[in-house]
Amino acid sequence: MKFKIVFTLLCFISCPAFLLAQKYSINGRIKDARNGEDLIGASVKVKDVAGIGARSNSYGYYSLTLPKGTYTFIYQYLGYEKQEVTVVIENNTLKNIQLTAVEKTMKDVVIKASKEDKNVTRTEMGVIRLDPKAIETVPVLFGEKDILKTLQLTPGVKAAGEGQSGFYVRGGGVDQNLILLDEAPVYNASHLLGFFSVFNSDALKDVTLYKGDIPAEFGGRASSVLDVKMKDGNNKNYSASGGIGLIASRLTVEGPLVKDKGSFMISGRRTYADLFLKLSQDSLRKQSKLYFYDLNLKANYQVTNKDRVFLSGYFGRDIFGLGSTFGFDWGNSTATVRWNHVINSQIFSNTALIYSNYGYRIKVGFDDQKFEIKSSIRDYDMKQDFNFFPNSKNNIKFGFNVMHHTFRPIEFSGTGLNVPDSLQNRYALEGGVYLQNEQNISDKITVKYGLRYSVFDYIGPGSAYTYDAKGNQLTKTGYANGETIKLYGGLEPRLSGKYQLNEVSSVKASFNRNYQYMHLLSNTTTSSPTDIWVPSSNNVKPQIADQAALGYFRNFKDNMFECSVEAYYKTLKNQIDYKNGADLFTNAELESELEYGKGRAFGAEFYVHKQTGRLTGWVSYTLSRSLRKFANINEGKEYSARQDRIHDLAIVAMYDLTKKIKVSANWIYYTGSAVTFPSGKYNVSGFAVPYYTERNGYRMPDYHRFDIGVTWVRKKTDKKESNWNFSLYNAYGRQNAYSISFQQNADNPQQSEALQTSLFRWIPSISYNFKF
Amino acid sequence: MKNILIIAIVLLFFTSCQKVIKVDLNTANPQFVIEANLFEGTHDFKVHITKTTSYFNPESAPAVLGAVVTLSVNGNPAQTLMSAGNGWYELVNYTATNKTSYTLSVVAEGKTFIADSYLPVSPVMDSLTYRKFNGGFGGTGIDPYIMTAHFQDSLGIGNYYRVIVTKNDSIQNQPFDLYLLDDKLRDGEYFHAPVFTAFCDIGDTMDVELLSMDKYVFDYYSTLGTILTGDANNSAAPANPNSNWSNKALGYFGAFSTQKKSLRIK
Repeated sequence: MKFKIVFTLLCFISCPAFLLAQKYSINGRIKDARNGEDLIGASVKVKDVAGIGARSNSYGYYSLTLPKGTYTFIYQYLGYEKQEVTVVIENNTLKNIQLTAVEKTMKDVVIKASKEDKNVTRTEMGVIRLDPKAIETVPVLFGEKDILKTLQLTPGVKAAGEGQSGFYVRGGGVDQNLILLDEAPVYNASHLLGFFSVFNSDALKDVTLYKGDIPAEFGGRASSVLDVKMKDGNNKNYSASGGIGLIASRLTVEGPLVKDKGSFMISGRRTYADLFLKLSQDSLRKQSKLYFYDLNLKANYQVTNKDRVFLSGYFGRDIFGLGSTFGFDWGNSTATVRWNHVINSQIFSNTALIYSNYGYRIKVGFDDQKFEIKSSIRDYDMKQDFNFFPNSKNNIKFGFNVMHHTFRPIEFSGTGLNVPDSLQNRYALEGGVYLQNEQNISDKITVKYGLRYSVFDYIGPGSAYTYDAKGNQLTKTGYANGETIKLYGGLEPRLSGKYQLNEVSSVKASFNRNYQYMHLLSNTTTSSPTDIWVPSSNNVKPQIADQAALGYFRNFKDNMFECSVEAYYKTLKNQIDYKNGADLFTNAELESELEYGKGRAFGAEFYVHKQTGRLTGWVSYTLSRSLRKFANINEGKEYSARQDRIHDLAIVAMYDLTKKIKVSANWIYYTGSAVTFPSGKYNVSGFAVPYYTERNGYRMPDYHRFDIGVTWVRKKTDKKESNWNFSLYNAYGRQNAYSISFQQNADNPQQSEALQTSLFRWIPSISYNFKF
Repeated sequence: MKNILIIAIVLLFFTSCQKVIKVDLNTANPQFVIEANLFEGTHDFKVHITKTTSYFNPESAPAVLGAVVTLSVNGNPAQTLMSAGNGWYELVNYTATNKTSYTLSVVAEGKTFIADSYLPVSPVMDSLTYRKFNGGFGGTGIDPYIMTAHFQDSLGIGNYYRVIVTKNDSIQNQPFDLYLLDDKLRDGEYFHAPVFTAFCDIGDTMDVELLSMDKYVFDYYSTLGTILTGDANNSAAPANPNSNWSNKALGYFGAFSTQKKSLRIK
């Protein structure tokens, strides 16, 4: 039924293309001339005809339908040389294009490289795109390039804490970000309690964060979508690149499977700080382990002119062990198989089969007593997307997906000890259908309208409970395999529009609704490997976020400066918190421990980005609030969410001092997080107990730091490159509060005190990077 | 778990530093704090009534005088506790029995506070054993032996335990010593509970006390433990422990049955 509607709509929209005969399409792929990587979002314009153009999609594919005739097309991509091609269009024409990257050789960079005005001309707003290459000189903690930490320096994105890779987008929670790696969801995107992200920058091609105006093809999280794409691999030559750092090393190898037809990429990273433990005299420390590794793999092959297949996979693990008594490991694995098919010159199809798994395992044991805990979440997903280019005015996307989730909350096993009962697995099906059109109404006005219908089916086998207001069990009902326990569904409109004021400025507006059917329960504010995902159920309702945004975009000096101001207002329904003292770890009736409420967030984001020249970088400032309201928390009064930080400022600068030496620096300032501190004290059972009144009524001290980095290019030719990178994190040694705890003075138990812990002061790092 | 990990990571990678800082805290209106512990058998039953003070105040909590404190058993007529000064109220040589519900009522400064507590049957602690522990952090500073308490949980979910350790006549009563156990996931099993809170070495004399209590007192202790051991910034937002007192009084009224065993490590 739904599909019928979708197709009727499609026919309606595409009708003009069929009625006005004599129209043909030019289509093909836009690639990097050097290594054959697809260029995402490259533009194609028709010379001397305003308002007609197309952009390559995430597979580098473009299609443009025009009346018969001779045209000159301009192919453009930021940092690449512009290419003009004259083509006689008499029938559907395949035109693959290879663009050459402009070598950044100081002076001529301004003249040759294409400078894009996409900031102003694109319909989308609330979107941040990062090219992992462009940000590699930004100084980071331990010299480990990390796209999640660089994203935190952009407006509307906040770090979840000092050194954390977790992030908040526009007042939403860490779990409200859908993180996709080659379309596979990544459930715990961090290593070592969040100090490192799972994304090895060497393996990545493109990173896009949608803070608002989320395209209809994405669904499932309330706040944002982070779409991370791995490199396809060089399909012309074999090459290797890598780096050796203080705490981790990386190696990436890529090359053609069949020249110009297929390629592969394999990338690995491992930390080795724990190898120093082996030098220790202490036997236990010698036997201790603490490290993580990542492995990224990708291969693609152009089977025919119209078909291309991709295989991508990720595997990462954190391993922590103490002698033989304690072991703890956790990590994600994902796999994606995709098939791109050009149905005809106007319709592009992508079919994906996706697997994702996150799990942890804890082993405790001494001698004959052994005990093991396992927990995981596993997804199988089938996704079908179509991209239809009926004419030069419309770009239609539609498709559907069906996903199966298995939640294994906790499983115990062991010998020689009391082994607790395992909790039952839970299952759910999640799906969505969507249709979206981006329509060029006039030279000045472009609109994008989309609708997504999502469903979530919480299914058996399993038991479902109902509770009274106090969390006491009322009923328990058993369900058979595949039987629906609770079905949810909802329409998610996604609307946006752009009005071009003049060549260099535009105004944009958007409205978005997003449903989130899975929820992360965490006892802590930073990422923990034991955080658990739970499905929406008869007790837990889906979270719903509505966001409206308005933006003004203006470029200066021939697009050298991109500037924007965006304001947003967001409401959040069915937010989750826990009752005091909730046991989230081993609780079969977890849902009896939850509280439900609502939230709102609003703010303004200011962004100035200098794209070209010897000095590049940006200034980002966000003024925002994020508030929550729960009937049983804070006496029902609205309170600040933890991420309610009013001011956030980041300045990032990269400067080419000479051809060989690049200097970079960051300065970051933000208001302290909202936090609950005691407003009194009393004694019970010999303990001095803090007395709390207001939720999140206090603030951590303001945070600021300055980082500096120097990259020294030792050698740079077409094929070979090597450089040294030095950086100093928190260069002026500010003692930023990582935590403040309240405790009794050890010498005088009557005296209470506040103890501040700071983590990183003057953290130097050095790394050597190479490519050949 | 998370605490261990943080410590490990900080030790391995980071140069963390700690300092005592000055934090400007509000002082809330003083609240009533009532602590009452009733043990099975014949003991002096004591109730302490105080009020909250400002957090950094080094003086002991202000006592509440002139309160009327009454104890009733299974709804029978109440007995009034005698004031013993300094906020203490007591019943000397009071005999409490298991399988009994007690209700304590406090009237002070025109306010009435009521709490119920059920005194459950204690399981018999069959034995207390110890063994060498090949673990511990960094291998230093921690004694090499660990004790295990052995007892049979009775059938039916809803048995709640606390283990209190006295090491060489000194009660282990730091926040991390609050060791709580329940039978939610192992109902009716024979428990071998490792006493992870107190390691020991040759020559130590260890007393282990196993307290049984009702759900509400257990809930009080577990929520108390959460705020005593969590840190304000990185734990979920802390809240006051779940008290069984009505009318928003802080503290708890607990009725306990106890089992005790001693052990000398040789």
